[in-house]
Amino acid sequence: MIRGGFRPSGRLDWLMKHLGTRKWSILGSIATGDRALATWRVLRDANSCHSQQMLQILDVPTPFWGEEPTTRLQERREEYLHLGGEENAIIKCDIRDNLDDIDGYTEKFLNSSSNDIIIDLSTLPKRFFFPIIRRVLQETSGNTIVVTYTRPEKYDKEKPLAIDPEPWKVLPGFQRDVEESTDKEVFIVGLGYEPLGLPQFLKEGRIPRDRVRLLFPFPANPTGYLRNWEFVRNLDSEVGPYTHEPIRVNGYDVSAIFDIIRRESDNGNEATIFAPYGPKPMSLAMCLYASYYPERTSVFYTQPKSYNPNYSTGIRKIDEHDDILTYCIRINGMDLYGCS
Amino acid sequence: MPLRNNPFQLLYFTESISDEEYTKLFSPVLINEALAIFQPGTIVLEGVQGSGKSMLLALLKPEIRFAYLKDDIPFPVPQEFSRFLGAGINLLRSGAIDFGARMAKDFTELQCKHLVTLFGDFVNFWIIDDILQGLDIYGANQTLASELQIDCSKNALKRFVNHVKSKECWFDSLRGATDYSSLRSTIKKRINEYRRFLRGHSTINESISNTSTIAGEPISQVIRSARESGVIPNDLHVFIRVDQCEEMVRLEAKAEEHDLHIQFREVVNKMLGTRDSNVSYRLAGRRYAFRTSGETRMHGTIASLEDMRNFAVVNLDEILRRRENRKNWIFPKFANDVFRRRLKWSGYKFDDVEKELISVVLGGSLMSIKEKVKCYTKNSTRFVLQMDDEWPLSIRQTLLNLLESDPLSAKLGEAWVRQQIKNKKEASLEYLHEDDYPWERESKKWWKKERLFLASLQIAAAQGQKLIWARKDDVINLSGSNILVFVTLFQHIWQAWLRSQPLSADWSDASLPCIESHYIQSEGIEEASDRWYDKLREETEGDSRRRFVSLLGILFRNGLRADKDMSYPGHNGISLSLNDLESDSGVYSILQDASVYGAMVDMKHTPKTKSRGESRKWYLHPVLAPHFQVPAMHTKEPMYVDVRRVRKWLEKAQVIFPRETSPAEEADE
Repeated sequence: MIRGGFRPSGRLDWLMKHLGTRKWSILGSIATGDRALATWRVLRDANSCHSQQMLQILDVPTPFWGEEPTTRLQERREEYLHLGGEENAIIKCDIRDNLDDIDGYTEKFLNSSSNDIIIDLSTLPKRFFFPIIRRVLQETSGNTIVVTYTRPEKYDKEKPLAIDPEPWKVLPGFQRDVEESTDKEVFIVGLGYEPLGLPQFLKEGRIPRDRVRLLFPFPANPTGYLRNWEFVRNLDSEVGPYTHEPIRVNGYDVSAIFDIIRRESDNGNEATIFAPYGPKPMSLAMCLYASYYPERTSVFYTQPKSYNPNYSTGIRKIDEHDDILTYCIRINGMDLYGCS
Repeated sequence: MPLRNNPFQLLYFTESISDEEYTKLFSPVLINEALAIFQPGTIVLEGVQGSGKSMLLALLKPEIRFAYLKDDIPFPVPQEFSRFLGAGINLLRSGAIDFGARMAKDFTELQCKHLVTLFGDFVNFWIIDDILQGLDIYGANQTLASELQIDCSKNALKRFVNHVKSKECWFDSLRGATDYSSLRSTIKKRINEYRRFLRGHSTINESISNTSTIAGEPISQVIRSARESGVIPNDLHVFIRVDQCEEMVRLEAKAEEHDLHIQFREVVNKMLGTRDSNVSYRLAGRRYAFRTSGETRMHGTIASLEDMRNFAVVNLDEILRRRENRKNWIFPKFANDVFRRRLKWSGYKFDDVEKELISVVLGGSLMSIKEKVKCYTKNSTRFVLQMDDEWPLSIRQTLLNLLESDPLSAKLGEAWVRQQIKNKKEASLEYLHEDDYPWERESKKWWKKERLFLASLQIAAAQGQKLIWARKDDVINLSGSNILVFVTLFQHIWQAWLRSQPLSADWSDASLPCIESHYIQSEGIEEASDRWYDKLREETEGDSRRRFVSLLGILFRNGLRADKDMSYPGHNGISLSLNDLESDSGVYSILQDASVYGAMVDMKHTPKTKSRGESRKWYLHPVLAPHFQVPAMHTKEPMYVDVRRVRKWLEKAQVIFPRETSPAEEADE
C-alpha cells in the first residue's frame, strides 16, 4: 500500500465484529437480483439496523424483456416486506432520474440516518451510486461509512446483461474543470465485458494513446478473463494499440485499485478521466477518487436503459456465509481514502 | 512505424492523431464539393458517422492551419476561400448537454427558462474562449498572423479588451478584466463556475446568474471588437463550429419531459438566426439531427429559423452517394486518395503515378460473378440445379448439359423455365435449344443482368458455400459511400493478409503487397461485416436496432434463396410510400435512425405504380451483405410494403410493444 494506511475490508460478518456494536443506517436497493437484500438481511438478523432506505429503480420498459423486470421487482419488494422491511423505506425511482433527484434521495436518507452508514452497491447502477457515495462523503456527520458488495452465484450467459446504452457521456455531476492544457490528462478504463461507446469517445476525446491506462481485473474466472481480453481487442481494433500494458489488479481490492489510480494520476496532479466498465468495487475506487478530486476528474459512461432481469442469480457462498465484500471508507470520522 | 504493419489499424483519425499527422492523412477530395463550408453564411453539415464531417471541419481549426504551415504543405482550401478564423464548441464534450441533467422533477416553468438561459450563456463563453485561444495560436506565429493580417500585438490586444468591455451585452460581468490575460482568466473562471454547477453544486453564483448573456450576442460583439481594434481585418471571416447537435435531441429523460431539448435547440437556433455578417456558424451532425420539423423557433422570439434564408445544408451523404452515372461518383476517387495516404503514412513505397492503387493491392478491379461461381462449383455441381420431376426430360437434359460447361447460365435457365411455366408459356419451352438459350439472348440482356447475383447466391447456398467478396469493385460497393466502412474493410483484409504471411516473410519489406488471393480478401471482408454488425449495438438504441436489422437480413436471405423463379431479385430492400410512413411517426423515426446510425441506407424511390405516390426505399447497409449473405447491390424493384407490415416486424424483433389492433385490422392481417 503506497500510503501505508490500513483500510479495513473483508466479509461483512467479520468486519461487523471488529467494528463493534453499532446501529447502522443502510441505503440499498430493491432489484431483480437475489443479492439485492443480502446486506440488509445480515443487519436485520443481527438486530443492527437503525434505519433503512431502499431504492426501487425501474428501467425503461422494453418489449425485449417483456413484463419480467416488473414482476421480479414486485416479487423482491414483497420478499423485503415479508422479511420485515418497512413499506415507507422504499422509494420508487426511475433509471433516468436526474442528479438532483438522486441527491434528494440521499439527502432524505441522511436526514434520518445514524452516524454509521452502509451503502449497499450490489444492485445499484453507477448512475445512482456515484452521486450517492459522493454526497455521503460530503456529509460531515457521517461517523463511519461502509460500502458493501454482494457477489452473485452466477451471471446470465444467454442474453446480454444490459441493452440500449445511452450515448457516451459524462455521468451526471462528474465533470471536471476546464484546464489550460490537457496534455497530461490520463484516461483510466476499468475493463469489463463490453466497451459500449468507448471507442467512439476515444476517437473524439483527444486522448493520446500513451495516456490510456487499462485496469485489468486479475485474477478472474476463465470466462471473465477471455471477455476482458475481448474488450481490449475491440478497443485495439477501433483506435489502435495502446503503448501501455494493461495494469493487472484484483478487481475486488478497492484499496489497491485506489492507490494505482493515485499513482497513475500523479497523486491527483494530473487531470483524470474514468471509464468505469469493470467490476463494481473497481468502479467504487474510481468513484472515491472522483469524489476527492472533483475539479480534476471526469467520469464517462454509457448508461444502459434497461438491465437483464436475470442479470445475476443466487448469492455466492463462502463457508456457508453470503459473500458480502465490505469496504470501510470512513471509520469514526477518519477518512481512509481521503487524499493527503 | 515498423513496416508490414496494418496501415488501417487505426479506424478513426480526426482527434487521435497529431495535427502534423492530419496534414498527411487528410484527403482534400471532398473540399471542392463542400466549398460552402469555407464561405460566409451559416451551414448545416450533415452526414452519417464516418462520412468525413469531422475531418473537413478540422480544417477550420487554427492548430491545423498552423500544422500545414509548419510542415510546409500547402493549405488544401483554395486560397480565395482560406481567409478565415475558426472556433467552436462540441456540445457533448464541453458539458453543455449536461445542463439537462440539472433539471429536477419539481422544476417550475421559470426555473426551466433560467436553466435554458444558463445553457446559452455557457455556450457563449465557451465559444468566446475558443476564439481567443485561436487568436493566441495565430499571435504566436508571425507568418500565419501576417498571412491573415491578424495583429496580436500588446497594443492591439489592449484596444481589443477595451472594445470588448465597452459592449453592453456583458451586463458588467467583465468589469474585473483589465488586460487581455485577465479577460481570458475571467472567461475561464466563468466556465469553471458552470462546470462546478454541473457537478452538482446547488446553485450558480448570483453574479453569473444576474449577468447571463443572450445566445450569440457576445460572440458577435467579441468578433466586432476584434475588427474595431484591428486585431483581425474586416475581410477575415469567422466560422463557429457547433458539433454534435444530434445530442440536443437526446437530453436527459427528465429534461425531455419538460421539452428542455426543444428549448436548448431554440438557443442554437437563435445563434444561427442572428444573420450577423461578422460571424457564420457551422453545425455538424448526423442526418435528421437538426432539421426535424417543428423545432425551428428562435429562443426568446416568436420568429422561426428558415432553411435557405438563415442557413444552407451541405449533405455529405448526398455528395458521396452513387448516382445513375457512375462516372460522376466521387466516392471511389475519395477512397483511393485515403488509401494512398494511409499507405504512404505507414511507410510503404510505391510509384506516385500509379492511379489505381486499390486495384494493384487487391490484384484487380473486378472478380466477375462467373469467376465466383466457378469457385462455388469447383468440386461439384451436384446441387446447383433444382429441377422439378414434371419438367419434360428434354429440358432437364438441356440444362444438365449446360451445367457442365456453365453452371451460372444453367441456373439462370432453371429460373427462366420456371417463369415460363408460372406464366403459362410452356409452348416457348419447346424451342429450347443449346445453340440458342433464350435467357442468353441480347433481348434478355437486362433480364439476365438483374438476376446474375441472385443466381450466384442460390448456387452458393445450394453448394453450402459462402459468397465470395473480392477485388476493388466489391470493396467500393460494400463501403456504401462511407469512408469509415471502407477503412474498416481494409483493416480486416490487411489483417487477414498479415495472418497468412509465414514467419519467415521479410517483415521489413517496404514494397507494396499484392493481396491476390480472393479467399484472403473475402475472409477479411466477412470479418469486417461481422464487426460492423456487432458495432451496431454500441450506438443509442443499438440493441433494438440490431435486432430489427437481423430480422430483415434473415427475411431477405430466406426470401432470395427461396425465390426459385427469380421473380424478385430486388427483394433485399423495402419501399414505403411517404404518405403511409407519415401516418406512423414511430415506425418512420426508427427507419430514419437506422440510416443515421449506419444500419441501413435510404433513398428516394419512384414506384412502378403511381398511386403509391412519393416513396422512399431502405436497404441494409451494403457492408452487412456478407454477414447476411445477401446482395449488396440494389437492383430491380424492392419489396413494396406498408407501414403496418414494418410495425409487425418491429414487434416481432421486440423493438416496440405490440399495439392493440382492432378486429378489422386483425382480419386484414
